[in-house]
Amino acid sequence: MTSQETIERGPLRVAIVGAGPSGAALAILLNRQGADVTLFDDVRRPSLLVGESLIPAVVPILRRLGVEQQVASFSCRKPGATFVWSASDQVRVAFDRFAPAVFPYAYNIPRPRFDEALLVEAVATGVGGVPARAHLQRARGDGARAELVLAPETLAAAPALGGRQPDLIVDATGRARHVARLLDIPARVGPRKDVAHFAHFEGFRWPETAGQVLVNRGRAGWSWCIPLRDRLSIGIVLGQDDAAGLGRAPEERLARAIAGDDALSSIAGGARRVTHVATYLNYQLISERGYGRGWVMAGDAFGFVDPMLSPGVFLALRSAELLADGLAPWLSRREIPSPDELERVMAAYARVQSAMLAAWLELVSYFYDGRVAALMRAGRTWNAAGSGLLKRALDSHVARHVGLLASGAATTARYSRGLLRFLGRHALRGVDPAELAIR
Amino acid sequence: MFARGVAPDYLVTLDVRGRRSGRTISLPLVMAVLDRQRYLVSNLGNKAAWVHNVKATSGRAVLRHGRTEHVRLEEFAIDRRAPILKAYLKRAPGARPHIPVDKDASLDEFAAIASEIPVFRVLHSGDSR
Repeated sequence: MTSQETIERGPLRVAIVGAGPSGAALAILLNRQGADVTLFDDVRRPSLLVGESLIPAVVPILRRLGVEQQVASFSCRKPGATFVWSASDQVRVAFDRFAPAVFPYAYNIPRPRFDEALLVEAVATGVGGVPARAHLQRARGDGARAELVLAPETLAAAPALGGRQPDLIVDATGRARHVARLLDIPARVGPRKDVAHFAHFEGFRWPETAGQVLVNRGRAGWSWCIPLRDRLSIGIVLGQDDAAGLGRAPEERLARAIAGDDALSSIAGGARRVTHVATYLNYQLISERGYGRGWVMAGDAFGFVDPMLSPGVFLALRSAELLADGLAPWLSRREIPSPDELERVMAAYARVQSAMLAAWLELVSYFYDGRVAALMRAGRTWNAAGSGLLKRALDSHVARHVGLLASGAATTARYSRGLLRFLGRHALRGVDPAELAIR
Repeated sequence: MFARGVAPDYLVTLDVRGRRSGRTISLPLVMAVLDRQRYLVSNLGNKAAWVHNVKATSGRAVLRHGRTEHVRLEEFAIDRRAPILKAYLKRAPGARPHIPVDKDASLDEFAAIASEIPVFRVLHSGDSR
């Protein structure tokens, strides 16, 4: 038998479990490439979701998905972010300073509406939507057989599948991580054991440029202020012991944190909370295994990192792009990859996604342990001693690479990461990072 | 489409003109199907913006689910809604927290809340039934 005879023709049949950003984006891309996509989601969304601020690297993906205009219609344009470590240690980043390497803006989004816009696009373009939670079962997973299958009642709920198991199951269940739980797949958990509480406010005083995100180091932990169209999202992220010291209820903790912080109280002291207070735990996690025979994890189901630099939605959408691009050669030929070929595509994707997650975790650690703030202070004192052409060029070079890292434009770039590592070790000029670390 | 024997899409995108903005507003909705007729249900009740928009356009709307279907949405009589609401709740687990009746409740229980949950029958834009 020739290899030509073993090629299976027809659309690749993909079942995506979960229609958050990664699931819906992957459904859109695969459907456009000719795959037969079934998207399972119970269309149940909390009214508040973390991930309200995007980084510039998201915008080209929104354009590719064809939803940027729609997203812009309900979102707030984000020109940059301001990081306040102390009264004298502040940096104000404007994305357009790094253009064209960095997209000159991003968006602050009402997350449920953003997710809905992606789902609308997926359904409208012909993805078969099944408004139910999918149930998965373990299978043997050897040879050509998949390690996971849809449970019979789930298969029955999707008439488009015609009673046949899909060629590929994508776990896009977010932090619920259904496949990881089902297959007992362990995860590497980051060093921080923080808790976040956040809510939306009206009637606030905004000291910044419209849309500029504010990240503020507190006495314990840090806080975010994300301007949305008509309200402000305020969140606090702190260690669980520190959170417990603020009270028992999330509402009490958030109110006390705002009242006890000069920066926050000047913004939201007289503001009115207009939503409940949402709580998130465990911010740093990377799955030890992201794929197997006939299945793969996308977005948060694979891993997630801290919200400080807002990479969550980017990582979710990028994972969808990577998967769709990896499958594109077969889709363009209307062929179904063999189980071995499929596994190789998933392995390549998982390597890249793991590397991205690890790079973001490393970058975030520089912000937490004070090295980024220490570098800024060291640079300031160095420049104060007299600024020449070389100093200005070096300053600009370092700022550019930190910008490339934190905007998502080049977070995994070896040179940018190496430069930050080198500077973090050798260019602190006596500034102690511990003094500027986030507790 | 369904009347011609093709399996329905249970998740659809509804496009309707906003009554104030004039812009097309899109949202995903779960379709209820009963006796080969298709229905859209507002699980957020009469206050949902899309319900006001549909009424303001005399039911003119577009359904998109791989193809574009111009439809007329006809508000369905309150006293005939109960079996549709039951079929809808069976199909739409995400709607269950919003509707104060269990999915396995009797038709009488659905009838008791029917006035608070708008139901629209989906007709082809040329249909006059």
